Amino acid sequence: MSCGSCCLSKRQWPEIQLIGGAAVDINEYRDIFLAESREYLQNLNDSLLRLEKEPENLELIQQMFRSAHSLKGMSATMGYDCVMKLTHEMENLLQLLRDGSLCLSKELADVLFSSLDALEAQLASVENGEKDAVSVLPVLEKLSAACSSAQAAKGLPHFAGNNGESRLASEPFALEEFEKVIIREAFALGDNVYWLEVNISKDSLLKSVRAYMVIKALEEHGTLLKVKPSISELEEDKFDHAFHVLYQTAVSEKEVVSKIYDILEIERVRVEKINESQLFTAGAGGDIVTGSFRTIPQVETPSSTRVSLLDKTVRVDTSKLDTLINLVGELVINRTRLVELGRQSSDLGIAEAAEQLDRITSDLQSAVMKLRMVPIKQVFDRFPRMVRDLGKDMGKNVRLEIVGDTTELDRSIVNQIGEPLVHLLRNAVDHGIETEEERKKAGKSPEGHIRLEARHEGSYVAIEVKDDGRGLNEELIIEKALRQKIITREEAEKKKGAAVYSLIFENGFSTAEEVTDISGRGVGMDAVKKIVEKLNGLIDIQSTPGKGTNITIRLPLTLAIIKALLVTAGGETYAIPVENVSENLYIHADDIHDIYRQKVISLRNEVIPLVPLEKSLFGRDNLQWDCEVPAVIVTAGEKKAGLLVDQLLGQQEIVIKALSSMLGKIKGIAGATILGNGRVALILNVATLT
Amino acid sequence: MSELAKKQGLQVVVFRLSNEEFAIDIQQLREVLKYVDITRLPQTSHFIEGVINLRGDVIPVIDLRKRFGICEGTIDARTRIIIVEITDQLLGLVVDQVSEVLYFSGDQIQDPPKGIIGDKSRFIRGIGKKDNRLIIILSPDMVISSEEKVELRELLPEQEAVA
Amino acid sequence: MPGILITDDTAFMRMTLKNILTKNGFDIAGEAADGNEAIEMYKSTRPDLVTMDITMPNLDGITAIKEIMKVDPSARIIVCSAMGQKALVIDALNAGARDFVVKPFQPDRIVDAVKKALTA
Repeated sequence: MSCGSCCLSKRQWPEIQLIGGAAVDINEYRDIFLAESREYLQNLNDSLLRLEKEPENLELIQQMFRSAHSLKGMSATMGYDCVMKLTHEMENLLQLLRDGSLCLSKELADVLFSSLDALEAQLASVENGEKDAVSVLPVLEKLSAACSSAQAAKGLPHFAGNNGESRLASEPFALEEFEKVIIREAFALGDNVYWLEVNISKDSLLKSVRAYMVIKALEEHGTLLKVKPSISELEEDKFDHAFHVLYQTAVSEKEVVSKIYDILEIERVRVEKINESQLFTAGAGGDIVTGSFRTIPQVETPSSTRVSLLDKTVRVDTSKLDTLINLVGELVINRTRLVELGRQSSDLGIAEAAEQLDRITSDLQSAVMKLRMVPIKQVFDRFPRMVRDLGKDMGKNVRLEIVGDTTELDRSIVNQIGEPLVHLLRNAVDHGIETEEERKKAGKSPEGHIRLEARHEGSYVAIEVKDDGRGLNEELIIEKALRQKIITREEAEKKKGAAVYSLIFENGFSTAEEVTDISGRGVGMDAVKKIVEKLNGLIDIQSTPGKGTNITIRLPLTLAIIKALLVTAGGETYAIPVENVSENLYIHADDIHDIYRQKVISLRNEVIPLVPLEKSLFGRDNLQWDCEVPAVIVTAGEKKAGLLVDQLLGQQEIVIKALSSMLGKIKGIAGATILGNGRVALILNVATLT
Repeated sequence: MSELAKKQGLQVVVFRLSNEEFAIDIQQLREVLKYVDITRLPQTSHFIEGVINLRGDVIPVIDLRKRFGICEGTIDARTRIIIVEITDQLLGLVVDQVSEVLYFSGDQIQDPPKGIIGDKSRFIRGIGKKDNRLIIILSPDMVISSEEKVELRELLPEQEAVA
Repeated sequence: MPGILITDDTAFMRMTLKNILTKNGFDIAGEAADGNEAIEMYKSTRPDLVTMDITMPNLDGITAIKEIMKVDPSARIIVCSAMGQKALVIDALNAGARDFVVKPFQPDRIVDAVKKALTA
């Protein structure tokens, strides 16, 4: 196994053999290897973050040790040399932390963090199919340097090599006088004494343990008069695959040999029967048998629990899951159709069966939808580390508090929400949180605080990023929006508070002018808003100068099936997600007022603009204003409007179908669904409807 | 037209728009549907008629008459929606009538005409000639991917446009 | 027929072992993710043989071996260890394990060890 890019030449690595290619196909395991490795890596990251704060917490070190250890075993099996070496070195370092030879200093934490980064890079290259592509040499050197310095301080040899003082075991026996006495006694008892040479297979990975097994087997049937090299040398691997035993036993030569061969990895056993005269040909001096292997006290503390959802779960390819969801979607559509037919039918049996099917389908649907739900922890988990590093880079003292990371969301949403959150958190650290001195001057605690919270709000999940920093500056935002020509001066004069803050989400607001290493970078808050809107979500911003900023993203629980209000306009049926519907009503022509050529109604003292749906979509105004008009009051964030439609059809669960990418993005339309009658109805995106 | 098609010939489905005969490569054809109700789409190109439900998939439909600036025809029993596959996505094309499946040998296919008013040859894969018929073999992907306005007469071979 | 009980805290290792064993004609009695599970499953399935990882959360392999040996002194257990766990392997052998295999797993080594343990 070669690994040109990352070998440490000064160190001998334990010899490893890959799984035989014929017996096991590596690719078969790669996905699960990656998934599980990432869990361990996350675990290491989490534990290390905590360990930084509680360096004395042995439990954490133990947990990290176990994770590194598991990773080592897995990567060695896969033949991912670099991962194996990295984890091996980490294990060494963690061992030193565990036994107290080392304390976790800031520098040491950084070494460990950088090795976790290296691990992550390795996993990424594994994922891309480039085995051992990235060099881990610098990190390995840092790790081993950290180990050596500790061991030097302790006066230990750095590496208990197995090629040190190994002694060839072919020297003749040298017996002490009292041993000769014992052997004579053995002969007197009628026992046999054999001289055994046992050769352990060269590719045995723990030959000392094999030797131990041989000795243990022999002890069961007789007495070991002498072992050469000594048992303690065998234990320390100070032998060269072969060792000798002078053995007293009542059993036959053949039996002794077969007992030894019963043990795996025994290459060869040679036996010579000793007679009394032979005993005295050997010279004097040598080792004395001193009992059995010393038992090393066990260091494991078996109490901590690995934070993992691995146990009792099945990993399923997400594409299989999506197929299932699609099939259930089809079922839901057909159910709707059947239920409609059932209602029209005079046959009670059919109506009843249709209703039953309706219920079962609903249960099936909600069960299947739950399969798609994953805790947002998956995304949140990487943030503590990120905020720590950002804060460190910027010389700010920041604490990230995470609340509600067990909140579940559709997996496709979880997969896409990471990037916007990264941006919001970066902004919070970069622009929101002040330096320690500024904070002290403002009478705040020196440590900045960012709270990341996920919680359920009806059929939405709200994710809130709240910092206690300096807050947004209204004047600066307006000034910049004017400079970028996002608003006119007249518009600027009318805007206040949240309306000003939301300007930062406008396209082109964030510019190269403020490219720091952290925020900026061309992608601004407009990108955040775009992703959130793509997910049918909403984003709100609140800020108090000097007190902090609070950005809330609201996302639908699921993307695939939603409850919607069906309406008709201009002969077409449209679906409005119920989350956007605040009420339905019939508006009488007399209640409609004109303000600045905009038709509005006054509803419970609130002035709401009216938008004829057909006109908004197709620019044609076909509404009859002289009678009662059905209207749907829709909300999108802080915005409210009354959509004027032809007919209100009622609520229904609909399966969201994406529109073909050939069509591009259509303003005001979120997608399509198929109605019970087989026709396509468009789903409105209220946030982009004007 | 690819060299391969010129060598091996091409099997096409022939359809009518107004008085002209067009064709598409049968490899790109998924199926032919009778006209169904189309759900209108707002704020898209004028020639995008809307979307239809094809066994649970929502697919866009283009009215080829509108695409090529032919005055609107009436929908009758012969109107068809041709479903074509373009890079793994389905697209419906409304045509007046689907008439037959034809085979053009390599020498019966000409390259798209060049040098006519505003080169629209990109919309055409070739011109099939058989028994005094001239059939325009369309390149359906250009029909939707390009916003460029194209008039029927711009697609027609020169001799016919003159005649 | 009961077959082999696989014990390892990583699903990956369990899968690797399972594949090696099933490809060589052994039946799998079950999979346990820690020592506690192994003990419980040993009691309920009485497998012919147990493969036991050493380092596991909740209850480590050596303690599990001891517990299983209390339940069934004739239990056949093979320890699966990583390199460098010599002392622990010896502890496991002292606790009653019949044999050991070292990760990364070599299929023929495992098969040999299992065969040997089953016939002994």
